[in-house]
Amino acid sequence: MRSRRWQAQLTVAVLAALLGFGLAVQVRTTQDRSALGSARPDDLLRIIDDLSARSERLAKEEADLRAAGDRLANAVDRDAAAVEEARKRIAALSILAGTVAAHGPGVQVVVDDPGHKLTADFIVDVIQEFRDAGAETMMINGHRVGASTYAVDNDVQIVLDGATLSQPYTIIAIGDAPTMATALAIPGGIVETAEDKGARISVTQSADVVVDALRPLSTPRYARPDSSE
Amino acid sequence: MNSAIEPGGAGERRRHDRGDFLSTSLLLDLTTITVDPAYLEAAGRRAARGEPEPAHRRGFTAGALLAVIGLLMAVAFRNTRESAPEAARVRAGLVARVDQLTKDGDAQVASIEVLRRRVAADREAALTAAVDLDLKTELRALEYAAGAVPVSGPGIVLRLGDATVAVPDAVTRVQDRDLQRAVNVAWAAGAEAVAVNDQRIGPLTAIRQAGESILVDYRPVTSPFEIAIVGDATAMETAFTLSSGSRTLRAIARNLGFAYNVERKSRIVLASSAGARPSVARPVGASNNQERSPAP
Amino acid sequence: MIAFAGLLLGVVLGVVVNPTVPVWLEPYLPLAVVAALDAVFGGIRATLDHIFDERVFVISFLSNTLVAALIVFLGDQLGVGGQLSTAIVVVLGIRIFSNVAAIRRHVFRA
Repeated sequence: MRSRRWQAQLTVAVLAALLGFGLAVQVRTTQDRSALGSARPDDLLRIIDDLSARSERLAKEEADLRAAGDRLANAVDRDAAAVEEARKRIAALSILAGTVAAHGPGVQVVVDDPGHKLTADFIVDVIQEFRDAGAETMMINGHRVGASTYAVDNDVQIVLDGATLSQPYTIIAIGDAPTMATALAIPGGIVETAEDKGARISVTQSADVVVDALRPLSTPRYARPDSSE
Repeated sequence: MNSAIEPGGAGERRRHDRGDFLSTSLLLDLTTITVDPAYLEAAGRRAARGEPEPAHRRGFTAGALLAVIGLLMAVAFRNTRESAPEAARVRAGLVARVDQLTKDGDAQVASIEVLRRRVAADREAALTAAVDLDLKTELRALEYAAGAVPVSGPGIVLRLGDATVAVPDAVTRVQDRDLQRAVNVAWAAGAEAVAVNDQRIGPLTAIRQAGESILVDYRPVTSPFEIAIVGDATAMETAFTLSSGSRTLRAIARNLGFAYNVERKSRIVLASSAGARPSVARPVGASNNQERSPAP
Repeated sequence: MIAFAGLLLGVVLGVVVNPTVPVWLEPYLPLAVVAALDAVFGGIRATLDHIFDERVFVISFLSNTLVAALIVFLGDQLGVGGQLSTAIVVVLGIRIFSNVAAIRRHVFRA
């Protein structure tokens, strides 16, 4: 009799253990579902394209740095070589940071929004769309766009980096013109958004546009170059 | 034997008869009348005619039919197993490729950072002349402005996570817009350096949606998102908890159930933004050949 | 016995021959299987209750499958095919479950 009760308890214990195991596994699998786990194949293909392009860019930079390192190490006049390297890096970075005027192929976008329906979100979206399409530098109404560029609303006006934008908004970006023009024109993209809000928008591709607004360099008060590994 | 099950069968049948036309409890019938009424009726007719139970008189028809059923099940099994996993295999392959490329890219970024540090150290060591000091200062300022060096400093970390619901959809997920807004709020409040999930936001860094995934600098990032901001920690904290600048963001987070919390940090380290270099943009006034440094 | 030999034979045939299912038939196949399962368990239950009848078995299977397919077809035309399939699976599922429960009571008396 006693052994039988013991047996029953054991069975119940085993079943309870199985239930617990099952619960744990189920919770695990539900949580494991990453954002990618549910992505559609089309989206995955696009991500793979983007990643491949990024990898190519990174490989180029890696090669450049290697070459620069070799030149520095093998130079007869190390000081001259270092000056040369520094100048080269300054030339590239000043275009990105917006401290020199730049020119190259690109697009000019003019947006006229008589109803003041477009908000700062639109400008943020435009900047992101351009960056995504490979714009190398851009300006909006004579304000050079940098990494720290922001847009906020002030009543019906849009304020970019502290300066109120007057209409029409003119955005000039340097980069691969067809790619940028296509990115703006996709369904649900910038052009459609602007037109839905009753704004007039024109996109002009050009073999040579000039981005000559300059962005002042600011001195960080809190950020320090980090040399820790 | 037969009589033993008779009460149950008859009971079921009675309930069935009564419920035939005026059943208001369809669900009750569904759960109580489980044996096909036709069997009971056939049995009833036989009993009326005084025939014995028919059971295993032939069995061949049933056997043939069961063969059909077995075939059906096997075919359905093969069919589902072959069609669904085919698509799943393709998808799994793509996901694996994305993961691999992401990992490779991260390794490239790490090796670029090592190289950059070495080149920078060599350059600094060589630039000893007094006239080189201006060059050094200019380069340092530009590297900071372009997010091309890792920085550290005080600041905050804003955590933004998908709403926890059983079936996630576009609405309950954090979208590129939400991250763009957060970064915009940070810059507007005077942030000095920003990174989203360790991806430094440089002049060319885009935050974009690709289907259900978000790409920062073309690299997939997933919820929970950590927006690390170096700057005046008090100003940043205020910007994300109280100021009107983050009102939209906070309203969205609250209404959709996003995780949203701000944590002050005395020291945050942000990686550099790698791979950013102009390829078609040229400085105005310089020749097309960038190998030559611009004349002073 | 013959019945189960038949079932086994069908499964083996399906696995070995591996016929391709026409596309138009694909949505109905899973339902046919569920309807068939219902008929099979109903049959076993009836056998154990000693009221099994081949004629009833055959007719119940055929009509179950046909009606299920018809409802889904109609539902597809009306745009509620998915929901109707669910409804059928729920109803048949409940029946299968209670039939299996009844069979269990017969076999294990518990």
